[in-house]
Amino acid sequence: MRSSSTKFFGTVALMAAAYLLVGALSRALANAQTHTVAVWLAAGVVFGALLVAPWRQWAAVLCGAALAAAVWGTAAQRLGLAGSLLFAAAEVTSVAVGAWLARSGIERDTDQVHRAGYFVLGALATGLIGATLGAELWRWHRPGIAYGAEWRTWATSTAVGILLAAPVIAAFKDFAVKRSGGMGMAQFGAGLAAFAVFVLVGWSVFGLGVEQRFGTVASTLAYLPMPFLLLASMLWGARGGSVAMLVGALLLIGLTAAGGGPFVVAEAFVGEAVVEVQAYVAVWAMLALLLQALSEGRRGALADARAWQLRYERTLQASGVASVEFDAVTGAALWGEGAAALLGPEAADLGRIADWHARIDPGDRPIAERAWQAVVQGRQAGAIDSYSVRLGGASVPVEMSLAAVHGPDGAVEQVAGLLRVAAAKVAEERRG
Amino acid sequence: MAEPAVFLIHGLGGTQYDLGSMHKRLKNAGFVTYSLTLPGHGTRPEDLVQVRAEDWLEAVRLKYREIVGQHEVLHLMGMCMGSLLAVETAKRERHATGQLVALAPPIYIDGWATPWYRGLRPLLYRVPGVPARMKVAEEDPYGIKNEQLRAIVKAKFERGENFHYGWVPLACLREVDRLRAMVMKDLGKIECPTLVVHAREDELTSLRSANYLVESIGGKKRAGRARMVVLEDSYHMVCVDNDREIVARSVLEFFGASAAGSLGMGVTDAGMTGTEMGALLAGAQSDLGAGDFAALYARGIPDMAWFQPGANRTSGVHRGAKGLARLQAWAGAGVRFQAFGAPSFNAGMAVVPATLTEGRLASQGVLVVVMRKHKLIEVRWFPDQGEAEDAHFGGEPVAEGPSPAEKAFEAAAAASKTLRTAPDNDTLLALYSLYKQGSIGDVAGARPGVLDVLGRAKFDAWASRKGLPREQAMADYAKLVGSLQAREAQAGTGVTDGPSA
Repeated sequence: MRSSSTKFFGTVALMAAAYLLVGALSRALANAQTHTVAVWLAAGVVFGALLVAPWRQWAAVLCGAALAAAVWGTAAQRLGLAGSLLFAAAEVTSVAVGAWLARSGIERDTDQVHRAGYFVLGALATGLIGATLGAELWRWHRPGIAYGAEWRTWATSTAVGILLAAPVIAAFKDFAVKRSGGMGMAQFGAGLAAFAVFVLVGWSVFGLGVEQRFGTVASTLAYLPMPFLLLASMLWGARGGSVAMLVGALLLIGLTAAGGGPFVVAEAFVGEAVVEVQAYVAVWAMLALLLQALSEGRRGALADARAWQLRYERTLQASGVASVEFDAVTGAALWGEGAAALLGPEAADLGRIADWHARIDPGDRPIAERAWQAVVQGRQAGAIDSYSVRLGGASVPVEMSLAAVHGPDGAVEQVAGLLRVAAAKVAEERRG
Repeated sequence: MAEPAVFLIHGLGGTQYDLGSMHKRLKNAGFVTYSLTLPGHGTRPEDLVQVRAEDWLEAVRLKYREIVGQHEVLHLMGMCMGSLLAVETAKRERHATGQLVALAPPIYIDGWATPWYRGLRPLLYRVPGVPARMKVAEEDPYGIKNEQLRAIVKAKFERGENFHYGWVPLACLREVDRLRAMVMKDLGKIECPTLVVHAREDELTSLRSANYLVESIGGKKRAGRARMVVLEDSYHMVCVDNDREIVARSVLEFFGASAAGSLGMGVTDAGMTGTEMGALLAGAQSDLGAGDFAALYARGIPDMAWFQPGANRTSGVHRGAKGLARLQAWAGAGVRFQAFGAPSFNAGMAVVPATLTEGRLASQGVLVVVMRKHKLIEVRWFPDQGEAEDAHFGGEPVAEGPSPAEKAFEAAAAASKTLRTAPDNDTLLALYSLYKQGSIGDVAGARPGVLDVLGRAKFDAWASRKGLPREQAMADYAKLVGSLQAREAQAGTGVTDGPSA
């Protein structure tokens, strides 16, 4: 087993390497006149790591990020020692605060949409705090900079970097290769087709010479590829969807950085179009997160409901019990799932309490009817009786327990019944 | 050994649990069963890392050679990867002393739930360290379509039970792939009759696998050597899923055994072993020897029927409690069955020679006793000379349907439904007790406990009628219902007349 110090330094090294690698990749994607790098996925990597790492590993993640940010400040931004340290402090502080906000909310709320909301809140908070600290750093270090442009670039690139990169890390946290039960080939193929259409349309709309191809309508085509990216994202689920969104967004950003697409119309500064397309991408990324959350919430709710249903059926079936609800006014019967298994196909014919009474042994029927009346009229809270009923041509001994369900005014609205077949095998024999 | 044997091989990461109740079913059907735990199994998934396909084949070969000489007939049978091993062993050993059964053979890993990246595994095999370290997990649906069973299996996984590994190393899948490649070659060399059982909805391996095996083993000149059973309501784990009974029956029939026998049942599913049937028959013979028909009926289902042939006052179908009462009317005076011969059991029924005696009558014949799940269903008497019984008992067969008293009783029971107001408790208990006494006779069984107030009151009311003849109870019941109807009619008239009075 690795010692805690080895694990700590391993995490620091891994985090630092990932930060620098992704930082270099981000910088290669786009050039801008601003000191702030126009695309910044490194913040998303740190944010994602803080979301999935145990709390006790936060220190190692932050140390690795701080170390890498300081190196980045020195090597890539040429900030000097003090400036690099301040750059690292701004980067790490903003990401730590944002990730803490997101994670705190996510861990205490089980609603998927709320959790997506906390994630977005954390991303935005990181962008705002980082932009404020970063812009001040640039102003201190290089007086005369365009403060607004720097602030806007830092905020946008950081928030978008988080919205694109962190979901990928979070989604792959518990990834395991499966023998079966994963996404099937058909679903994958459908997602791939949607993604291919996105790439084709995106390349047409965001590629070079769009104005020559589409004329004045070019600027209105920006939204055309995104539904296909969303579709691919939904078809591929959380993992594939987050990767699709990351790759698709980077494609659009890269094409825009290369001078194509509807955002390169008039730039206040070089690289402004890249910042604008990131804001555009951020909206779609948030929409994808929302849809994923809704989808995951629905899946979870269905799974919960099914688990409850199975548990309920299993308990009743194992106990040889069927449940039924009678409407107190109409006598309509709503039998539980296991009734057919217990009573046989004739359960379908027992639509009303009268149908049930009609099958009771004549000697017992008046007593059973009187008990029903007593319960339904509120004179008794419940009644338990044993008798035989005719089912499938056989006389089946049962025990019926009735209990009144009261409305807010105290009137009996429903009568809940639990039916136990005294010899469960009788029904079994009849079916068999 | 004269007994036929079956050698069962479990699947990848599994144990004999994969084969469900096949061992038990085969044993019940008279087979000796053998199994083995494949190398790397039954311990920890990590132990599979170093195991090669040749190790599994060698283990199967050794076991096969150990047992093949002990039996005149030895069948080979495997589940999932076990079926690949069974097929390969049958091929290599020129298996000809029995038959071969392949359950869900994964010739192709292409089921509907296999992940899209399944085709990438040959690339990963080549990356150093990855095959040994990468875990391939078992996930929902766990090869089981039945959701209740799936929940149970899931719970077993969560409890960490060692019935199946929760994951296998990728290296292990590499060996399965190698095994698949071995199996796909020279299938025409298999000489024994082969049965392939495969689910149409198998999530791990499609029906293409079964088709490939059947066509390769039993195609062209070898037509008929292999056949297939397609299951419509199961996933991969065919021996434990919804169609497990079809699997068991298909396999047993393929082996030439009675599927019913494997359950200790007749074809009507007696749900009993031969010993249990013998014990129930012995009890019934004892009752018949003593002329205690009530005790005989107590061994049956509520609607147990006695079929008495002929054209005399005893003839007819005496079914249920009423049938017993009718039967006792003529048999209670000394009818006995004696001189029982050796019974023969078949298909959920026992046929036993017997002699019906009453007074000077000694009528020989056979009794056919149908039983199921420890209960008598019906008893039929077949006298050798029915005319002798007709002459002895005389009279006319009991008319089908109820007697006049029973008709009045039934009419009263029907009329009781029309009562608009519920009678008081004493009257309800009187109705109950008279009905029970009239329809069944004296109360039997234990008195309910003090906590069951209603049940106790009903029991006591019925017990208070003990000894009252059924005809009398029926008449009293009809009279009571009539009086209640009359009282209601009077009350109804009173209400109508009230305002004008």
